Amino acid sequence: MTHLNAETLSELLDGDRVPGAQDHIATCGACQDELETLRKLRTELRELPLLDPPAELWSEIEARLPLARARWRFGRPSQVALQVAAMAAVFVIGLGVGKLFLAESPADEYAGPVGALVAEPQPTTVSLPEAMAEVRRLAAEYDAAILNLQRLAGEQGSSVPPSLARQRLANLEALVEASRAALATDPGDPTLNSYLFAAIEERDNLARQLATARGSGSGVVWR
Amino acid sequence: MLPEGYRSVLWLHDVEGFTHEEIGARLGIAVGTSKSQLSKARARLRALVLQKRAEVVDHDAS
Repeated sequence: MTHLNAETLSELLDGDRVPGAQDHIATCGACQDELETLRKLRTELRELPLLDPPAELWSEIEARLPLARARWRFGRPSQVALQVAAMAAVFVIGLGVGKLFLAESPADEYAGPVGALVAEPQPTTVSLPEAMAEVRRLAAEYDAAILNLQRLAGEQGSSVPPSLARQRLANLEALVEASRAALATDPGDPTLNSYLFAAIEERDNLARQLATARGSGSGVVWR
Repeated sequence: MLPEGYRSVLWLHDVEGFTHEEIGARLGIAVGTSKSQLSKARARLRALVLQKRAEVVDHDAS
């Protein structure tokens, strides 16, 4: 018997109607137990006491803000400027990986401080329109690189060497850290939050693939 | 510990009571992404809690 997956159980927990799922759960004790466990967890989560933040928390955050501001040379780090910087980071990282693959570099070891691509700001003061133009240029190059990457991946059996996957993992880790650093100045920024979500999910997926590949001794499938 | 992305959606939905549409608008993500993140967060939380409870039982038994 095929049991309900996590997504369907989650939908049932929220009271959504999922065709076929209600019929299954009416007769499956295991899925009933699973749904009940999730329901209890949700209740426990709602009943958790709120914790007061430590008194020194704000002073620690405040102390980090000037450092964060100094990283961005757009002048005062407006929300838009931070978004642009995060976008640039995404595209630069993607471009770097694409070029690495296109060059067919063996990349047996971690090729360099990829974090520097993210953490290092533009070397000179850049106006917002100039930054946007640069982002658009990088985006076009990135798209072209991805097309080539897909073509090459198709020719090579859609797998990439584990070394490249590790490089990509390091890039994603750097992107997660960069997004977190940017969020320190504007925690509610939706774009930065979405970058963080996407990077974390992508990083975790790739880490799982690497772990699986280590177990089977095969290459890592490019997503 | 849950990854930050999972934690945010789980907290906003299950504790604060926001809908997926509201979470999507607030975080700049699609409604489908919010639902997907929530189901993964719940599954991860379930695994973490069961693991922690098993550790406590083992510790008490030893």
